[in-house]
Amino acid sequence: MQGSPPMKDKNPEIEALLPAVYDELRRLASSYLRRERDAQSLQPTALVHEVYLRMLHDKPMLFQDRAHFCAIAATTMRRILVERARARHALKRGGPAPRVTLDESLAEDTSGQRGTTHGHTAVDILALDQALERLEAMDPARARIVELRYFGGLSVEETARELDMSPATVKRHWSVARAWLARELQ
Amino acid sequence: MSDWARVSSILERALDLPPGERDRFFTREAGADAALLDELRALSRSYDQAEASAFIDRPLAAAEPDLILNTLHPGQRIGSYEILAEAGRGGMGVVYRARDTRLGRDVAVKCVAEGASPSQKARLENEARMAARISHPAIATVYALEEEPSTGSGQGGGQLFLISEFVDGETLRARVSKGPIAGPELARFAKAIAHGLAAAHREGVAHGDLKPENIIVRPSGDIKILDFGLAETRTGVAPLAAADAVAGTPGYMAPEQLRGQPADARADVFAYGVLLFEMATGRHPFAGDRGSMLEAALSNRAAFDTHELPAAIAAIVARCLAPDPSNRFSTAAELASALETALASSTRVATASRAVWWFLAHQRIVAALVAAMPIVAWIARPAFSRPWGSLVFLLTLAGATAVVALRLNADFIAREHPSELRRHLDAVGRRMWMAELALDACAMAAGMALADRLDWAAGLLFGGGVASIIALSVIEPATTRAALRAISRERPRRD
Repeated sequence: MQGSPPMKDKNPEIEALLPAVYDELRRLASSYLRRERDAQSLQPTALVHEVYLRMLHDKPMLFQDRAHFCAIAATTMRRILVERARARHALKRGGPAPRVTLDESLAEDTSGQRGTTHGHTAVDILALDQALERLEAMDPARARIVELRYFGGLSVEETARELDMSPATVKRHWSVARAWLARELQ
Repeated sequence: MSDWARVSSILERALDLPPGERDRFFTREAGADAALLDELRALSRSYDQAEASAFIDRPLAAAEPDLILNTLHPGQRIGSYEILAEAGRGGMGVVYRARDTRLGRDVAVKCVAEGASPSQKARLENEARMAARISHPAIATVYALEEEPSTGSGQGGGQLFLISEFVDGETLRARVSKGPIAGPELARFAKAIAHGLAAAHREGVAHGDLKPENIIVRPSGDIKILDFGLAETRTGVAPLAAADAVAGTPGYMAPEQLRGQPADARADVFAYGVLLFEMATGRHPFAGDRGSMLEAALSNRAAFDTHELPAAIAAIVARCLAPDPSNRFSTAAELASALETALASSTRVATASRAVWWFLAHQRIVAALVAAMPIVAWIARPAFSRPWGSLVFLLTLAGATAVVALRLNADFIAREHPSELRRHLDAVGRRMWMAELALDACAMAAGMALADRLDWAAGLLFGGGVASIIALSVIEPATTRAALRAISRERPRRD
């Protein structure tokens, strides 16, 4: 797993779109951060939707439909987040940790949140990513729901709309997938 | 596959049931399949736990927003620098390892989050300017400060990138967390940091945020001080402390910094004191939680125990940590030279005490040898013809008493009043040596007289006399000279 991309299938279409999505996400993430620095959270849902709107506006040819875009955006988000988590992980392990500077304690002081957020236990993102890959092999539909919700930041209702399911079904699929992942991470 | 389909479908239906009825439902569905029942029960437990802990309920980017602060990706180019990998990230920005494609070397690219506040940008610019003034092997060299136009709709201006020397290795924090640093390594680290800091102070730059996280120990053992983001010049550029809510790191900030008063090089000296204490003991000098740490640093008392420190650096640490800046070293240069002196004299004290040890050992061995002579003479007394036995005994007794008393006296003075030793030896040394020489002559004569009558006593007295003369003429001058030289070198440092 180490070093290989988080996705099982290397979709050439997604590969081609990645840089553009990266740029959009970066631009949007920072503008959100700027606006919401004091608010408790960044809203990934809004983030993904704005990326969607902008890219649909700029490059309408590239996407078949909204669901197609959401799939790409969620996969991209997952890939970005897992890469960052891996970098952070390497750093924490004290391994080869090259760096000019890190203001860890400053970050702690100003935001007061790191590792554990809002009382939630910090999740081992790398382990989760690997577990999700195993779930994908076994049950792609439920794995997609986790990807859209956890990495893509969509709500139950939004996920239902993207996947053309009822929210109740999404909720049930989600619950089971989450229970399975929770056990895998124990 | 079909197993999972069955498990997941039963589970989905069970989750709608009240928890009490789930198990009965599982039993009915699983029938005789014990493995299936176990699997269902296990997943049901995981479900409850996941519910209770809100496992992955919050989208990752919302739970850990710092993961998407900046998203430069490998392969992306900033000018002629090609991003290779992310090297680390913190609250203020991200550091990437990148390739300078023009010069063909690896560099570190540091950037603040694109949505960063103007003060954070100012901080990066400040870091670049401050660090660029200094050229020292213990300080990461700044190569350039680049600005890229914003990729977005122009809000917030371009993004800043600080290009500097790529430093690999572990942080001093990681090193200290493995345990105290001792001996020559401690001396080497302490000196390197002090000299690096001194180079900064010579250029009029105070670091402002010295702490183990900002110091890298390279695999070669070399030290690099990083992050001049909070650095200030003594000429007084507008202090960044006002712009940022927290400027500096509690636990390493000097009392005056904590109070919000202007800080200068002496605040670095304070942080250095904390650092040195931590390196030597593996512990922060102001133990406890952050609150009591601040209180300890602010209060005018020594909250730390210098007894834990190696003697050579205890006084230096205490002076660095003085609550009143005017009681500290005024610059790191002053600190560095005090450190050099202390560490050098500590190795000298070690050799000095070794020389003195040999001197003391010599006094005691000779005293023991000489003390044995009258005992032998007493036992050998009947072997002499009438008055001679008693006479030889009395002579050796008198000589031995004098020599042992003088030897033990020299031993005492070397231990308790080393500075008096030279004067003492000048005054009584010659008499002591004469007495011993006379005693040795007497012992040798007695030994010769006893030959053929009492061979063991003859051998002891003669041999003891010869040994004592050799000690007196060859060994003693050398050990005495070494001890006197060591003591006189050590003395001026004792104030």
